[in-house]
Amino acid sequence: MALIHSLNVSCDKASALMEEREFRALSGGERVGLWFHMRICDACKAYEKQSQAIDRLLEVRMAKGEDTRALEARILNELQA
Amino acid sequence: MGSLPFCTLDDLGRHKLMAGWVKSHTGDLQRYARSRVKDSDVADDLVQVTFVSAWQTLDKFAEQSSARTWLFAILKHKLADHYRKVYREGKHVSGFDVISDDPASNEFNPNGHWHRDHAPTDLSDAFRDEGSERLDRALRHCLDLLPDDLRGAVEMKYLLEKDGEAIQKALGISATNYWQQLHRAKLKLRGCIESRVTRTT
Repeated sequence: MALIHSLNVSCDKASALMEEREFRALSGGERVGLWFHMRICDACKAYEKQSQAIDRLLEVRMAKGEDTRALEARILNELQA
Repeated sequence: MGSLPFCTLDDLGRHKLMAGWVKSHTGDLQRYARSRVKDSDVADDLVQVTFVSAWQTLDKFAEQSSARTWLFAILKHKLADHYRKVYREGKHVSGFDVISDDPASNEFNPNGHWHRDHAPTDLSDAFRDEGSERLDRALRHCLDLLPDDLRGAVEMKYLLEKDGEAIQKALGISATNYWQQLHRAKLKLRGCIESRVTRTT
């Protein structure tokens, strides 16, 4: 019964476990449940790829250049004070 | 500490040193801050307090780390402080409310499966062009659309280098609650980026 129960992972739960596994080791049941779910669910397979793409984007993200002269002047002014 | 050159600098020398740092590093610090908070005025203020804080603690600056590294470390602290305040000021809601009262988060049916309209699909190529300007713009746009608490959850993950305990302590929420926030933020980001990239193709 425990095995059957562990296989009953919803998409909601599966996508939540994908976040949690970055912070904690999943239990054996959770790992099996997630593995099994990923075998049968195309949407979650696609989600996993996209989620990992977002994580990579977040790691490397940098904004575009902006004119910083006004802020430089403001800070220098503040430091003189 | 006595061997540090800064201790021997007079006030004029310190001012000159600091002015040089402001000239060299403001641009990068500002870009970094502006890509991590929605409001660019708030971002600029954080850069400013970074320099003020650096100025006040100049004696603690160890020579072996570069000025840039040191300034970025201070800025990250200031950003973390900012999001800590967002949470402390009560803009974040409890886990229970988070789940129930946000219609935009209903990616799933009551049985936990994807809604037909929200189901991710391999056919979507919104995420194929990693490194593309368009995808990067979409990410920034969508981060800015997140409510402050979810934005904070995402930013803290990278500001505190995925140190879960430190993040939960800083934000004053449980681990379960934090993971829930990250999960919701990710679902929202995914949906938002996909629809934005698809629309502008």
